[in-house]
Amino acid sequence: MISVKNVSFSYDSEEKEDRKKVLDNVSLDINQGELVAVLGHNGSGKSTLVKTFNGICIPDEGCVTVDGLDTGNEENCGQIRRKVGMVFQNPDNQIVATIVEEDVAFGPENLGIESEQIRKRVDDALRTVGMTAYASHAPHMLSGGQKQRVAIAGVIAMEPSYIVFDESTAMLDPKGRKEVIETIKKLNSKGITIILITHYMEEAALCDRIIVMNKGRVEKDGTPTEIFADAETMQKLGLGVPQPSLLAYELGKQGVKFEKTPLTAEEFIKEFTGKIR
Amino acid sequence: MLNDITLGQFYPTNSIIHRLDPRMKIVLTVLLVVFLFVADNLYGFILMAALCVLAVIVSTIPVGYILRSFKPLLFIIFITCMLNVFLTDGRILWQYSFLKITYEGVYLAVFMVIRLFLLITVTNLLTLTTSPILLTDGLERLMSPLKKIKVPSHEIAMMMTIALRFIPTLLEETDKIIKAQSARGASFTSGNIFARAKAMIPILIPLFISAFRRADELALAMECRCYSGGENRTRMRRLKIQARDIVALLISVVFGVAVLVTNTLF
Ligand SMILES: Nc1ncnc2c1ncn2[C@@H]1O[C@H](COP(=O)(O)OP(=O)(O)OP(=O)(O)O)[C@@H](O)[C@H]1O
Ligand SMILES: [Mg+2]
Repeated sequence: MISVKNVSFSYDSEEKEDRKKVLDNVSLDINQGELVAVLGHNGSGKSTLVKTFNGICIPDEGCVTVDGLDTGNEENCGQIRRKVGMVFQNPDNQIVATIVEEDVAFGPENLGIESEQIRKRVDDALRTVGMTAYASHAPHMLSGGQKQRVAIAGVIAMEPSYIVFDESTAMLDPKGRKEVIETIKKLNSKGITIILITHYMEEAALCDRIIVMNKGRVEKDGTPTEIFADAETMQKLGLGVPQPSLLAYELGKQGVKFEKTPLTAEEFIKEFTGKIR
Repeated sequence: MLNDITLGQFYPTNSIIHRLDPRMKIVLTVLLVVFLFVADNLYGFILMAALCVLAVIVSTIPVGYILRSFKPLLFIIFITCMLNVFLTDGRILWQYSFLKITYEGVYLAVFMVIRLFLLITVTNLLTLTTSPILLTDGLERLMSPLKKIKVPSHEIAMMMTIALRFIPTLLEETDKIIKAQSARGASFTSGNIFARAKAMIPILIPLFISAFRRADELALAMECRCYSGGENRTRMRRLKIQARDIVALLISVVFGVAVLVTNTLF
């Protein structure tokens, strides 16, 4: 479990007045096995929040613990980083080596694992993301979606319990995005806790839980159905809701009440056809 | 426009030379370079040339590929040759006012040219038959004993790997910037040399800024993957000296000894 208790954080800056709180008294728990989306407009502190999970950012006030380990304690740093993996937006800037399998091996090598064991982990990780055929390719020859899957393999080779995806689909085309989302769901079904930062509401709708950030605070926290039911608040926070939810919301104002906010076109059709009959 | 630059010049044919341990290949290359400087007579050079030809044949790399690597260095070879021909004192072969060619000069020049050609062949053979990643790996492991005298061998190898990794990415980016600036009406091919140099500024500045941003993100990603320098780091690839490495070493040593013998005999 990642547990965030009353955390405040601000980046060091030259002028004291400039130090605005990027995280302001944030508290939340992320349980083992969850698939959590983090939403929020640009600059709302999403990336900063997840950087406190693995000790890249240490809270000024409050504390973050990962499976009971405090991120504020230097000694826990290595252990926490192998538990909490991170995949970033630009796949080009997270691949270190000139060969795909060498890059996947980078993490386990840093952990000081034995050579045969690394080999096994690399093969497993590449199989999980479906990139075995590209093991000896040069990363710069791959497509965006493939590169991002290599980056994911690099993280899962460290066998983390939690993986954070910080807008990892933002630079990809629809095909690449689909590949990555499918990989993410597969990992979650294997029991890895996923924290997914995204600006795509359709991706958020696939999660078990949504956390909405605004100005460094947790504004809302709930299931997609709960969160997307209130399209007006979401729009006030500079965010949208999936098209089917928005349509249901607008119809609701016209008097066509939906029992459960639909998240996908199929759900919408199911509810809606029920009504006209 | 910039896409056709090959990285390093690795030419994979999976010959026995390709499969030699990279550490052994680096050591052998150094050894052969030393022998080439030790050789001082025709027979020595014939022996070394024979060894080089043998290596090229075994490597199954097309000869044209190796010859091509001489091209950028021909000018330097030519200058060295001329300096030796005209500036060596000795028995005069031909003279015209202050220009003179001596017997010794020609002799030295010929040796120098042979020596340079063989040097280029030997070093090229190393880079042609070893992938950049094995090369850096081999270098890191060869240099690791130097850690005791504070040589940052791991850091050097890491920097080489990252440089190799990012050269294609940055080339691609340069291409994009050139196109973007051209679309805004910038011209990189007209005007004198100063005008052209100035035209490079709008390319270099965005490139530098982007390279720094990339460096920042890469450092963060590496930190998240538990990177903390070379200490306690293991490697996936195990390098092992095998029979073929010993054989290659023996052959080279035999040739080296033969060169020394010719040195004392002739
Ligand atoms: N390294 C840094 N140094 C100083 N300030 C920073 C740094 N990183 C982020 N900030 C500031 O912190 C605030 C929150 O940034 P953060 O990156 O957490 O937002 P975000 O929600 O991830 O936004 P986005 O959707 O654009 O990724 C912003 O105002 C930003 O300017
Ligand atoms: Mg962000």
